[in-house]
Amino acid sequence: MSERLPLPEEARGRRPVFFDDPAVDTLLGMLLELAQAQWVTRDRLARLEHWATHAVTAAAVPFDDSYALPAEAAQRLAAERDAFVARLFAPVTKA
Amino acid sequence: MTRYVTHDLKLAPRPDEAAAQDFVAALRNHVLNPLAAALKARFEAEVAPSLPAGATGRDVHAALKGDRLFRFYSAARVKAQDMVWASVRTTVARERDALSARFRALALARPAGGTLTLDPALEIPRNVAALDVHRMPGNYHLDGGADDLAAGALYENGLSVFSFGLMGETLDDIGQSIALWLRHRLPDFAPRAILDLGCSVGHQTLPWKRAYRQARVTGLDVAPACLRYAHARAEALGVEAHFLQADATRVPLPDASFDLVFSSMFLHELPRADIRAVFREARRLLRPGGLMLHYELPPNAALSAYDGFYLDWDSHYNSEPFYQGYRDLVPADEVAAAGLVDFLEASVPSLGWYGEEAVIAAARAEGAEASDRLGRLADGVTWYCYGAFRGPNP
Ligand SMILES: C[S@@+](CC[C@H](N)C(=O)[O-])C[C@H]1O[C@@H](n2cnc3c(N)ncnc32)[C@H](O)[C@@H]1O
Repeated sequence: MSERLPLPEEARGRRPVFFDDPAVDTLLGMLLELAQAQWVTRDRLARLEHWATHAVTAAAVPFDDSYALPAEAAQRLAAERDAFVARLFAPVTKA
Repeated sequence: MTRYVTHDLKLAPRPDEAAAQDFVAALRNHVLNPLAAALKARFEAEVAPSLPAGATGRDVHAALKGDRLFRFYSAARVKAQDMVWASVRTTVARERDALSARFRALALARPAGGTLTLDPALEIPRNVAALDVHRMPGNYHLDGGADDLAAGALYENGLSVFSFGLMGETLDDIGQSIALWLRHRLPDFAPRAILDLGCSVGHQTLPWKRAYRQARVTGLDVAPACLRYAHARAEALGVEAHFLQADATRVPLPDASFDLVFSSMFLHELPRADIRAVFREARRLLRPGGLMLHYELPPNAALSAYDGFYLDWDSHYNSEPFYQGYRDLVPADEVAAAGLVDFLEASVPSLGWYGEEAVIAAARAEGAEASDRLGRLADGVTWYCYGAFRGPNP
């Protein structure tokens, strides 16, 4: 199956531009990529912290990718994520 | 956030990939709920008072184009759209061969007894071949041959991130809501054969089999990898359905062979001439007394100028070139021109959001209730659908 073409990374067609200076559109895109990367790190850190405070003593539980937050902590993290996104956009809705 | 994909074809995103998807879903939720509300408030306070009476969605668009909030809203929404697909692509690429293996096993065992009929000679229509609809890289018809499921997996997992829960826990809220609505709207209707046009991965196909157990249910699409995925998904879920690769404007099935011809989110992706061809095909395929029914974007007539503008955003900025032209059509006129009778339309409350009682109450009400929730993927969505019957005479 290695002869399959890889999945394309970009959509065909013109990418819409909204600001008079297209650099603003580009910068917003870069900012959102950065915010996403920051969130990925935050999520990993939250799992690591949880493991460090709750699981590290049980020597049998190593930290790896399968270590997941329990439901309640995951919910708190989701609320933190929504608040993070809202904070990013707060200046946009101010006049 | 691919968590709404719960059957045997579900992927195992790594925690970093899942966190990236969660971010995109939260971003879309923010843009489509609070930011969209702020945009509407801005419009009402600052733009609406200076618009002439009788202004249309196009006028609203022209008036808002230079607005700073509109620009941020739109630029963020386009970026979020690209991030939807990017957030699932790596996982799909990594598991592409594993998905093929699952497809082979399910297609061999066929535990639900469904079938898959592909037509490698079918010409992919230009409305699919020439663009990447809603900016999905590769589009529906992307095909790596043989057992490739990638386009279907991209579509379903992308939709899971895209809809942040609003398409239901299993992404089939439209089909479930409308099938329940129809059972209560037409309690004596007992279709023996049902056709779903432009079925993609079969999200809204299977609810019909669940609602009408005695019916033979067929899903039709032009996209081979989406159909392979649909077949494997149906078998994994234990629901019998028959998937067929064909063009809905010329269906290779006999006259008068269906009691219900349905489609969902399909017509607005077609050029006008094809929409009309599909309606004529639907009439041909229906038995006398049979029903053609479509879930679609509401037409302009059902909406305020602002809400019309809001829905048409996709036509301008999300590679949905036929969206606005579709919404300009008058459904009642189109079905009449195709020779169908007794037009009906409804706004069906989302089953997942409002619950069963609300859907049943809607089945007892007349007409489609105009609201800014109609057809809009945001909190409290309601689904617009319409249809008509084939009369008793041939
Ligand atoms: C938005 S998707 C439909 C999703 C699906 N019906 C649902 O509601 O979950 C539109 C589908 O229409 C298909 N399509 C487009 N033109 C077609 C045609 N002429 N005949 C059949 N299918 C077509 C595309 O391949 C795509 O899968």
